[in-house]
Amino acid sequence: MYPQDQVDELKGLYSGLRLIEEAGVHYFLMPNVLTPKGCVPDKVDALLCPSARDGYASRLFFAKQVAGPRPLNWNANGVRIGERNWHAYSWKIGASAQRLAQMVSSHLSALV
Amino acid sequence: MLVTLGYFGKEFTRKFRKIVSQETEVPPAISYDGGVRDTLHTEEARINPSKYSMEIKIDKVGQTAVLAKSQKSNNPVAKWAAVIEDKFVPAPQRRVEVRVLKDQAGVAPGKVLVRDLGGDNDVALKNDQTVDLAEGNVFYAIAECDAPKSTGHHATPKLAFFVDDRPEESLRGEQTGRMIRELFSFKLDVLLFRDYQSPNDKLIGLDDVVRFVDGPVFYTRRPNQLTITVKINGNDYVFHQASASVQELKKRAGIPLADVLTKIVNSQMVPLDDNAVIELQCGEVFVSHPRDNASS
Repeated sequence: MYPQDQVDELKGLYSGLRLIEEAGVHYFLMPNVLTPKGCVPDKVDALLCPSARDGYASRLFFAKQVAGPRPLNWNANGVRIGERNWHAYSWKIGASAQRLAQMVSSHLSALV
Repeated sequence: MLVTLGYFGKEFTRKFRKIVSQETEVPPAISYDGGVRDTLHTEEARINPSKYSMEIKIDKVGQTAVLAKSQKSNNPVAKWAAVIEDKFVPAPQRRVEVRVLKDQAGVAPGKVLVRDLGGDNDVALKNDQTVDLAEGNVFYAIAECDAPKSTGHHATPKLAFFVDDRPEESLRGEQTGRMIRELFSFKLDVLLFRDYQSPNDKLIGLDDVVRFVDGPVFYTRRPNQLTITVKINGNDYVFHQASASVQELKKRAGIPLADVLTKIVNSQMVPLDDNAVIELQCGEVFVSHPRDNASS
């Protein structure tokens, strides 16, 4: 499990935070995440997988593909987690992003 | 008795108790409003005596109206307090019945309240007497049989100034902001305020004249009292300033300067420019992440 202070920090940022466990993997579901300014849609449900998956140290899935100022390689589409379909772009974050909120922040920086 | 004085074209209204005649070179003095002396001569009158004129109108009928008018003045009403038996005793106003002071100080009914003067000949006070705290606000209680007898010769009264409910006594009715700070052993940069009944308390500067008769109650506020706590990467950091540079935030939180600092605004992550200076708000949340993220 993840340290409670990290979970609390993420909960402070996303009030409807929920933990999903599937096939032994923990995910954090964040409803209505506000995407960076200029993105479409401006809010979308997101799912953080903080552990290694698909060759990435962590991944951030979105309920819909988000169009930002630069093209992204959406290489995961319709991934079924928690009985919903999810999409993710290819994005590797720095190893120093250890905390849950830092991981989310790192992934969202691709949309800036 | 109210007396209106016409003096150099201006009118002054004073409540007189008695008129003291003096046949010396000292200008004539008048005692009013509880014994405070007011010399009516001015330097201008000395220089040009031909212009010096004074009309006195005695008005008993209009006393109520004049008093009501004077109470509507814009001068804030100061808070008052006394030291009784070395204890801090807040007073409801400047003029207060001895009985009230004794009750507030918990003085035994059989004891007499005595005004403490700077020398001998302290003044015993009667229960139903009204005292003006501006004429001395340091008292002690004593058995009636031991109470000092009036001699008619009174020394300078002890004056207690209060800062943050702590009294310090002095024989000087006129001080400066610096002297008050030094009397209470405060640093000179302490913010000193005179405490009024109204919310608009007055900041006392170092060179400001502080008159005891204007109110003896003060309080302090520390400089740099501004305290803003923000959260950076889950940890609390306290700042004593209203703004900080992004670089300063990173340094305080031990974040590599090359990393990106984002500010959470209404649940939205907003990356901050490395050269930006931002206004700090209490409870704000910041999250950093490395800049070397990459698409693959």
